[in-house]
Amino acid sequence: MLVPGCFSIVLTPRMNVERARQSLVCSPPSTQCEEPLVTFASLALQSVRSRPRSWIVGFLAAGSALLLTLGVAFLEGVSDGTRRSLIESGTGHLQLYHSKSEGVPTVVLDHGGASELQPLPDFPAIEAKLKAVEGVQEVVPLEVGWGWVFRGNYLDEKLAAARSVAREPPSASRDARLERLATDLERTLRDVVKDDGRRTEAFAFLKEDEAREDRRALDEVGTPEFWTRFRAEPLQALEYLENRVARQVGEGESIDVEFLASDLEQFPRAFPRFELVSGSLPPPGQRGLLLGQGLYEQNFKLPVAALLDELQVERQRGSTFAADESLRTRAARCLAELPDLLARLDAERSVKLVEVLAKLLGHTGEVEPLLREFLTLDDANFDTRFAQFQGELAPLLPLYRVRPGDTLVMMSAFGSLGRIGVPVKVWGTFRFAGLGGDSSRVNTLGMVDLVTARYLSGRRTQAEVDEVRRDVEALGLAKPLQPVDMALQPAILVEEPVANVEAVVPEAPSEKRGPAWPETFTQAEQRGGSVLQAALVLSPDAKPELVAASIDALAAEAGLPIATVDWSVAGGMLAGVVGIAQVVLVAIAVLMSFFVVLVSASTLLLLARERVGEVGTMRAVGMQRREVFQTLLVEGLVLGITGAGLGLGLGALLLKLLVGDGVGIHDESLQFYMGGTVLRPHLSTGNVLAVGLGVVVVVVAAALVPAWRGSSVSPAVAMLKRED
Amino acid sequence: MPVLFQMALRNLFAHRERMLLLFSVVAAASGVLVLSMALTAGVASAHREAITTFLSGELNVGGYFKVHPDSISPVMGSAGPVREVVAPLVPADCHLRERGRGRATVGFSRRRFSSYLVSLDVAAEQGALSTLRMKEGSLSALSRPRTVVLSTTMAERLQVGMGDVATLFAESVGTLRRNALDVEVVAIMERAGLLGGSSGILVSNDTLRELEGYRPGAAGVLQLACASGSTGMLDVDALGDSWREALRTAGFEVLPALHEAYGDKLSPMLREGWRGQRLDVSTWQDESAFLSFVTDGLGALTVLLGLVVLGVVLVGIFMAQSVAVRERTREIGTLRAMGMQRPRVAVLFMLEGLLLGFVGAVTGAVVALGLGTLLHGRVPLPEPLIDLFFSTHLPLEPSVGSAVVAVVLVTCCAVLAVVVPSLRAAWLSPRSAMESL
Repeated sequence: MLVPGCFSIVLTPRMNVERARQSLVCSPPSTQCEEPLVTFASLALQSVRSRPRSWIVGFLAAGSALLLTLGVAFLEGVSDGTRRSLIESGTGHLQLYHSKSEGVPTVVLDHGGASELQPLPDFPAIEAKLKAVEGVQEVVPLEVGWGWVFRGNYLDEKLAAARSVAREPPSASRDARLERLATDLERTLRDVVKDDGRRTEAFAFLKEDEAREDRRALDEVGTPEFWTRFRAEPLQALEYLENRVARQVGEGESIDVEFLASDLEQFPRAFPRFELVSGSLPPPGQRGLLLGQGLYEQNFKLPVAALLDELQVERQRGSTFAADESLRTRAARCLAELPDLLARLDAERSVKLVEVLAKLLGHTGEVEPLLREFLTLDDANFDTRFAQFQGELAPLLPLYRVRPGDTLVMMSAFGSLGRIGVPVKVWGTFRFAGLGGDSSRVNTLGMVDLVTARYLSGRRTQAEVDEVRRDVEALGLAKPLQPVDMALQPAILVEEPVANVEAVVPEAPSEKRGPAWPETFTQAEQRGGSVLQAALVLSPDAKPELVAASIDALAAEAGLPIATVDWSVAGGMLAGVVGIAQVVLVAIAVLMSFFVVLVSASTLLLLARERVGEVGTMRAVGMQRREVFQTLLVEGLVLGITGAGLGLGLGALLLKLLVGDGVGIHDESLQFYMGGTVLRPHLSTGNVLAVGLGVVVVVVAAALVPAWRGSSVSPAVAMLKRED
Repeated sequence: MPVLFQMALRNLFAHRERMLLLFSVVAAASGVLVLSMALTAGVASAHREAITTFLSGELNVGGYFKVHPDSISPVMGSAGPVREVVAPLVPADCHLRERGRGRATVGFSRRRFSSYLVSLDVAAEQGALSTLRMKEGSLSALSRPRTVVLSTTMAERLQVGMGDVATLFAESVGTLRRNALDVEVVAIMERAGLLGGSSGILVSNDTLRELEGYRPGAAGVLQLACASGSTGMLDVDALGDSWREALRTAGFEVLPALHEAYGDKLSPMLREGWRGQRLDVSTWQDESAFLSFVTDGLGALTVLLGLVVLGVVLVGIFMAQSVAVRERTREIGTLRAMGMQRPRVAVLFMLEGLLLGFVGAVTGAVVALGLGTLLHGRVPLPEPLIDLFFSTHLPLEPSVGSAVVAVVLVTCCAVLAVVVPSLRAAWLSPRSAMESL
């Protein structure tokens, strides 16, 4: 007796009705039936085994699963790498900020500049409370900002050279050198005066007084008396030239410096990847600037030398002048940079340079044609010339415009004059080890102390605001002072409504502070002044989400206006890159699913068509249409599960065999995203499940229509068909 | 042949279900292609419009002036003589307009925003300025001295509104000189792409002159502006060469052509040792070189999308026709039994593919054309897309040319996809074909 839904069947493609009847085995009604699903599964398994063509679907599922496994593992590696890079280069696991701020703290600036944050009230107290939270290791005060420095003009170099000679103890040789430099300066300044005559071709003088002052200074350097005075009192005359003439000549190209400001004592301790390349950290209590090694090499190195370095790197990669146009373009740019180099050479250096070049080239001549000949590069001479440049010419050239110990004026767009210039001493250069070489973003940043950053942003400390308030009240003004220029007060006051008071003419902060910005600061000025945000570095086993929750609880309990964001917010557009990569992977997966569905459905349809006879047999021996549908669907399920399992296993095996401990990343520009020099693809359980489930669902979905079509054959028609 | 054609048509109708499925795949593919090409063309055209109304003329003669080698200003000391040389070379339907350019920081309260600046002469450009759409206020107010128009991006960032007085700080390149001017915000521009952040300040030529301290008669740039219909005919590169030549002949020092925007040319020029006046002739493509990644990217994306879509069409039709051949063995057997030759069987199947591909592609393309025309300027875009597409609404510009390309491509793919199944059908062993009977 046939009991529908309670039989097992062994089918082969070439089965005819007779064999089907014989192979049907059903247990007596009294015994327990097998689970229908198991029956369908065994049916489907048999069917799959006997139809190699259906394996296409399985292989397709396996291929997709393999690709997705690899993709997901690598993406996870990249995501984890970027996360680590950001966390270890200043973002920290969490960023702390004032919860009433308009913006959220970022460490990577976008086009519009830093977010608007309110200063944290009484940072030292908050820091102490946070350090008591379990898992918090360091609370590093931070600020991000953007400023610029000027390259300086061609007079600056000459004046600097003359000053260093003038400071030497008097001797005959010093006088002779000074005389040579004076003659050179005199000639150069004659050009400056002549150039300035052109100003009226495009400009109307701005203010009569200013114009008269400038003009008088230029007239004076044109007189023989000035040069007699120069020889007698060189340092005084040089100061006059620097203050009154050099500033008229222009400041040259500006170099943008995106900076990270922090407590420079604490930062290297909290972020171990930070390492000094040259110079030293500023001593405690001293303002200072550290330049990222990449920024230093790209912008402060003599352009010709920087170009030669680039050429050397390209040549080591196998490029040649003959085959690669970019090499020829760079070589041509070396020559185009010559006027800049020559303008910055003083007379002394020129003489020495001519001697060395004559020796290297085998003939003498003027400095310009000799340099031009030396820098006319091709495949045959490059290696020799590069070695000669590094060994013999570089020591004679001002290779870096700025050296540790020099002072740069950092400019920013804040302040009542639309520009603040804060002089700050360069103490050294730094690098975040293993996060990409000199082209990496983090190595092209600058680092300053928090006080300099505050000067640059034009904010005052709470203490200074209080002091102003006291002074004003002492003067007997009825209402508290509301400065018109908000740049002069801390951001915390922005929320207060501006009272309708008489406009007070704002003063430039530089004038208020006297001629110089103080070079030193107290700990209270640095950490208590006006801290906008802080990086929280957590202990290795702490979970950022839990720590963030504890901080929220603490804030609610103690009534502190603090909040945190994690790396994915603070990382700004860099964290966004990971998000984009994830979207791209999902898009690829969707396209691949579409392809898999199309091919699988067609293959299964084809197979369903071939099995009309067989289905007829099954229906004839009593199987219901629903059961045939289920059998065919389970067939898809079997193919999907087998394929996905195969693909996942193969993927995991490949990752283990080929990738092992990680892939070495040699391209420096990628190292930041990979979290260092090694990319470690990582397969998490969640991702494995997602890939497996996704592939199975897609294959089963693809099997729906063929199963429906295959099962909707009427037995009479099917039986008529010959099996093939 | 007509008989075969008729048979193919009947076959398609006989297998309505499959035909409809494939038809919709083909039509969708063709539609997607047409729409993506319409989007690329629309963005390219919105891009060109934004650039040529705001940043650049079709062709520009700009000045660079260096008093000393280490400072530079984007200005020509006297525009008159330059205009005299160029004016005779201006094509019909076009005219020269005087604009200014520079960089400035706008300060309001404690907020600062630096951006490129554009200056224009509202009175002289009256009619042509309608393309510069304002969100609030009117551009004509710019004719009043010491006024400014800001982009929405800047106004939002600075939290400044109409009627507020902001400070404009000139950012002269390579000099510490700092001029400032208090200006009234008289209008706020409608969002127009990335330019809102990078080039969001609009002042009058006089205000710029006052801010930078230029002498009377100085101008930043002379721009060639043309009636919208005539730009297609214009060969700006050739015209640019003739302008360069004429200016050189007239004794001006003209810089060599360089495919870069003026802002990107300033810094490298600071390294060069020359002093005095230089002129530079640039095309609108040069001035928008820094934005070309948008149109290039969209073009690449369209190609990629096209390849995927055509791949799906190819695979889809191939698999479907393979199934069909298998299903229709009996029918093929009948045809063969009735004496139809193999090549004709193959042609029959290929005709089916051709018909399906062509009719589907044409339908898809026509629907997409209609949809594109209907949706043109009606679908508001989210903010990040406004930045990239230079338009507040989806800029679709469907064209018959792109529809023809899509139809040809999709039809070719459809025909290509049925080649193998058709041959397989024709070469079915007669026995198996006849046995199915």
